[in-house]
Amino acid sequence: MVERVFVTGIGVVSAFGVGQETFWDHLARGESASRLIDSFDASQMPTRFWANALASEDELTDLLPNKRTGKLLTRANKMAMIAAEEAMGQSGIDPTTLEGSRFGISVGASGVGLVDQGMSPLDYQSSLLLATDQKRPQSEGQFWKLLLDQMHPLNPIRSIPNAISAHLAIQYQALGSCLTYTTACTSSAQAIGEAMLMLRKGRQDVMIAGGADSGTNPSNLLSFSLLGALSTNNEQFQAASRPFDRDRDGFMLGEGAAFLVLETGSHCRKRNARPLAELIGYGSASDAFRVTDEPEDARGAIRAMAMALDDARLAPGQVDHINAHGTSTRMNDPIESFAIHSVFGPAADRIPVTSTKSMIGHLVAGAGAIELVASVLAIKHKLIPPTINIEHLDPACKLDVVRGGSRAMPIQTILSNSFGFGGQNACLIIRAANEVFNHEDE
Amino acid sequence: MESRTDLTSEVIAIVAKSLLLRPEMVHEGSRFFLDLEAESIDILDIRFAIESRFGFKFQNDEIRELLQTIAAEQDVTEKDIPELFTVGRLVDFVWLKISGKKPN
Repeated sequence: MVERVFVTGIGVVSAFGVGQETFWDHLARGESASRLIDSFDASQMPTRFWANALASEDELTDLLPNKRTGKLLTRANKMAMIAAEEAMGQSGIDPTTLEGSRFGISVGASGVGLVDQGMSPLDYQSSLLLATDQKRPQSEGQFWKLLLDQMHPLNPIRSIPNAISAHLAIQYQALGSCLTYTTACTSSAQAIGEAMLMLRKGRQDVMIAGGADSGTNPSNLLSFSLLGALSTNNEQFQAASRPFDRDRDGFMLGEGAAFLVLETGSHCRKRNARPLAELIGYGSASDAFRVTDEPEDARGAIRAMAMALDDARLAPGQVDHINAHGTSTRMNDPIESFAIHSVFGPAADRIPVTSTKSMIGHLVAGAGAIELVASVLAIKHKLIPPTINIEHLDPACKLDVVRGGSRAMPIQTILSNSFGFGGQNACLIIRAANEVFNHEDE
Repeated sequence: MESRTDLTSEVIAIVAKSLLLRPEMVHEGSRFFLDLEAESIDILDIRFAIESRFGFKFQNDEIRELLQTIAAEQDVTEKDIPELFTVGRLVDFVWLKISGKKPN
């Protein structure tokens, strides 16, 4: 028996605030979450803006389902717990009624190392550089000793990549598979896709799947600046993230979390659940090319999309909308456009495409999840959010990019792309869940 | 630090902050693992806060040795330590560190 897999709850923390309604309201209105950096002195940085979540550490802690875990959680991890709690609440599942071993977790997350994402710039300086006048290390040995003495002992445990999945399992007493995917910008799309495969096989009844990331810190800004991946359009920072525009110059860092409760058809029926959408396709492929370059033939992106369509048993013409990876980098957008044309053929001209990264920036490990949540909401509201900031559509991106406002239309199926450093490609397909109880699935 | 009583208040404040408890819920007899439901990672957090506040460093094995001493005094094994490790014992230890005096 192959189980069908339904989305019965979603939750999100974004640069627009906490909760799916806030998220959707801003997306539908086509607003930019871009802000000038004010949490540290970025005046010497080539990029001086990002799309950060406004909530402070304490505000995030107040929203945690278990506030006592706050000290063990990074910003990204706190946002993950809050988003998952919203998703669980919407699903209507009482976790105490679940058979624990049939209840699993699948998370896309970054590996962040000893330097905590949530560190203030001053902590950052003292712990990483240790270069104050009083404590300037006199030798390499002294440097490491100072680090040992000054680093907070909880930092290592806050920063393990599987922190989110571990805390979710503890919070909801999910005793089944507890998985973490750290595959750069495809992390959470893969976490969701792999969870779907487990549910289909009947190895779990329910899984909380999604991802989170917080790239809006000095360390990440430095890293992505060094790679030349960020827009430096500081003068027009709210118009800087402009996927598919001729004059785009890089992506905008974002932060947030998005989680979905995924559930088998059998389990949905048993408890009379009302699904929000059905997850019907997943493709995953590697470019096996270069670490940061995408191959011009878009081999991995094409195979991931083709696999997802095949998995969903859909013909290309049956896809109503594509939520693109659409980063706003020089490299990604034309290659993704080429990939879409290669997979969809003539249908590529009439499938509306959008990139929510134009508004919320790039959530890296959380990108696939937040874009799938945006897609679930697009089905619900029968509305495709716009790709903002396009002044001149790049001729190398000949797609029907939704721009100049949202587009209202009935939507049955949405394909969502995520591509990442390392040549990672993942693609998910959802459809409206309006036929859950009438469909022959077993 | 003027007195052990002052120290007790400060340690209780640190413990309460770490465990997100109201200070009045913590007293010298509170057992970390049983009454306050602390886990080992909480002890690391409390230890770091105490080191930062009072300006000394615990040596690597000092907490373990403290717990072993407690166990030996009570003639119990290490597995019974959760029953015995109280806020008061930690205050005694810190008092010894900063004043050089053993508790009465």
